[in-house]
Amino acid sequence: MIRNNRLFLTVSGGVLLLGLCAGVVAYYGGRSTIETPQDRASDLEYLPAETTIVAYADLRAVMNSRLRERFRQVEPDSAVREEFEVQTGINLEADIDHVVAGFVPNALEDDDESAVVLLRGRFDDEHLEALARQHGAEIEDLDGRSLLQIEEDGRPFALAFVEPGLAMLGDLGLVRMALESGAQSVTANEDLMRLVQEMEPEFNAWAVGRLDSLTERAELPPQVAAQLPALRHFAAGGRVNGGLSGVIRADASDEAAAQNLRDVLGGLMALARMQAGSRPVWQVALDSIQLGGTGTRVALSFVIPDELFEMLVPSEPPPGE
Amino acid sequence: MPSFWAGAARVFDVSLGEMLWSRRTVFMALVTGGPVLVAFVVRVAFALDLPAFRVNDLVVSGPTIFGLMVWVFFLRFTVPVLGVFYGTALMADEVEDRTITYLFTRPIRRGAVLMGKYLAYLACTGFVVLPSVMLIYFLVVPSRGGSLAAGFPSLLIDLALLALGLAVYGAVFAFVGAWFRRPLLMGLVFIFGWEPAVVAVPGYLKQFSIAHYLQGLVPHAIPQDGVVSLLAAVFREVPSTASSLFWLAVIWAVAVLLAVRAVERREYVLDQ
Amino acid sequence: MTAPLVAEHLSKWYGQVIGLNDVSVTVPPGVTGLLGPNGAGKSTLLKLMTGQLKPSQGRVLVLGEPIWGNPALYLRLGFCPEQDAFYDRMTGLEWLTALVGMHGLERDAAEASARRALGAVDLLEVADKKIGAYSKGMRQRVKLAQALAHDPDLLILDEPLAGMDPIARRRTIRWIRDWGRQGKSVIVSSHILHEIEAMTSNICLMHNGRILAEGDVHHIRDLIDEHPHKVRVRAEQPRALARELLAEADVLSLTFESGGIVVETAEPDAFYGRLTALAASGTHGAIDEIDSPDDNLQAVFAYLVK
Repeated sequence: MIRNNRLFLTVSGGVLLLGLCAGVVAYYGGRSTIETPQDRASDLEYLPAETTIVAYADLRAVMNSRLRERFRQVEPDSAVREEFEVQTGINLEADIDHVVAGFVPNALEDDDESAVVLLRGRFDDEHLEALARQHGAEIEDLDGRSLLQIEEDGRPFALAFVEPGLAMLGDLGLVRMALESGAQSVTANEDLMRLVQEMEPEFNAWAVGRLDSLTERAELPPQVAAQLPALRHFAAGGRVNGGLSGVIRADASDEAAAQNLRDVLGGLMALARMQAGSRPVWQVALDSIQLGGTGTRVALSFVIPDELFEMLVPSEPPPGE
Repeated sequence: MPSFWAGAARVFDVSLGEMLWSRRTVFMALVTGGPVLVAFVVRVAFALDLPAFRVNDLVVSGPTIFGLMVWVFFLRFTVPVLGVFYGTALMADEVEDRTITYLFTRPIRRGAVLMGKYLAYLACTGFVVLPSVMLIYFLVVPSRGGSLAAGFPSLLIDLALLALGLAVYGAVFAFVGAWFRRPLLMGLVFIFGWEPAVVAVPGYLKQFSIAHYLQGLVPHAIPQDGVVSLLAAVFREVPSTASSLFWLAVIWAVAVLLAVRAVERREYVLDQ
Repeated sequence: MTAPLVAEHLSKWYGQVIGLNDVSVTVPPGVTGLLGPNGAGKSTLLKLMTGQLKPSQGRVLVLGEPIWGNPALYLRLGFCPEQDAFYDRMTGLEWLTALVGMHGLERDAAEASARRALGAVDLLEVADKKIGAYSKGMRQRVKLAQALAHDPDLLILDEPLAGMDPIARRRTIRWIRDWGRQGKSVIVSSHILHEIEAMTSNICLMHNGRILAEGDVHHIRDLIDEHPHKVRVRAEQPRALARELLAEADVLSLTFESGGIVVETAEPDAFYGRLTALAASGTHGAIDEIDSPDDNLQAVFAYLVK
């Protein structure tokens, strides 16, 4: 090969290779510090098989984010939080690592909606048990685990310590169902687990579920609602840092239904942009929304920059101004 | 006699140097160096938090800026333009410089000459465009909450997409250059007239463009601004990934075969 | 022995323009001169012979095979084109190595062949210089080198002496004669009879796309001699050279032009001989280039086609 050509290919290829190597190192290095979907899935085995919506939040990451700092000033009086810490010994910002929630529709005969929440963190079990007793809780032994039962507004709730560092609370019947030996868990639901595995590792909050469970609760624009019967599952996830970025995905029953929904969403986004023309704040937020997905999948990704929150919730001016 | 590919490899070696150190390289340096410069300015602006570099008084995140730059600067401009300027000139430069005689009086097929020059075009443009995109990635993405790790898979897709775009546009315009009399004019009309028009208008015509299929591979990266984009957002019919890859492969293969056939059959009369 | 080149009723049209008109010629082994003024069809014939153009009618056989669409024949054919066109950024050695490599040689073998060819045209010393920095004479010689580097059986040279200085011209003529003696077939085109005559007595005369005559054409020489012959000389000291030349009886007129002189002589052989001697001695500075305007031959051809 001619010398100059070799020089060009070597230098240029070197830059490319170096960049790729750096990217690979950053990718795998970055992944190792992020909780993987498999890590998250380990707690899901305590959710009942009937769960239709699963949600997850890396509470520590969210609590430590700049976004949360911004919202701290508009939070209710911190006295409530402090009282909670005094009573339970739990600092919500430091002692809870992550939260997993499962929603089960029609789980109980007289109930239309039940939920169970798993808290992973550091708790003083004995202190919490004593506290529950003080508030009239009954304690039941369920396969060697303590089940604290309490009634609130006539509805029975339960708190259980299912393993060291993992607490479960929710409707009594549901908690009991989840802890019964031999019960199947939501990890047997392949569709939901696939959606969990597909969540980007850097997302620190997400939810996946069957769409009918969501639509029963949500109030959606009629054009979108009309498309929903053809949709089966949804997945929404995001990364909370300075701002908020994330993706919402939906799986349709066929490609035509997915394309219809893409068209409708595209039209809605275009109209929204026209409406937001004179409001730069919303214009930027809308510009960040990207509609995509192929085949039976529809995806909507978005980035809401820190500056948008700055305009919505202005920071407190530094002292002295 | 050397095989087709051995012949192409020898022509590649000669042609790469000629392409690299030609006047056209100055143009390529501008269209690929410009975005790198912009990325550098953006990085400095991020570091200094200069209000002048905000969009609508708001600063968007690094990965968003990177996605926009890849789409606006590279896929929508640099790749088609380089395809036109280099692709149409693969044979035309040698004919104009009257050096084609040296290649056509060698024991290699004329098609191998074209293929060697086409590969040289890919190396010449690819090894300039891809590293510059890489530099932009490292300059822009880590800013404003972006993560090198999180964006890396999409960088790989972007690089593959740019290489694919260069290959397909180059093949199409190599054929145009080998077959038609005024290839540059035709190429410019195609990329600046035909493609933007048919991609924005609903109907089947968009299937006769390359941008439509490239768009199918990066639906998330298309910025939707302005009236044309707004219409496109309403009426967009994005092909699936498999369909896009299939049609791009078909366009590439047909264009390369037709270009080889044209060069094998055409007589090149040199000006004395 | 197969004739190295046979053309049968060969015609070539460029749209409405006839470049070559029903040419039938058999070129024998050895050196053959293709003589004719500009526009006679020499270049068209050579392009057909080298497979760059496709015949509109008739056929051309090179070493017994049709050349159009037959790249394998270039293993045995070397072509030196007329145009002064190169990859100027490459060194002579890089260029030749790359071109010889296209004949299927590995890099080391290709470079060895390239060095041999550069040595054969006395360019080994400047092998690593960029071609863009070569003088006109060097460029002509490196063009010759690329034609013979792969040791072909048939060499086709289009105006190989154009732009050379007298010494290089004499050397090149000697090389071409030597190649003929070594058993190669060489076809050389020129519009200057004295150049061709110095290489061979076997000549094809072309005019207006036709072959006027072929073979050992002594009477052409006599016709040439009856006509004054113009020679353009580019030299370092044109005035000193003019003084020297005007002293000779065969010089009929002399005019100055930018960087040189145009001399009209009645005895071309004697004049070229004196010029070569002057160039070798360097008495009046360097003689860079000699050339002969076409109009010498035009009068002769006008007479022949009457």
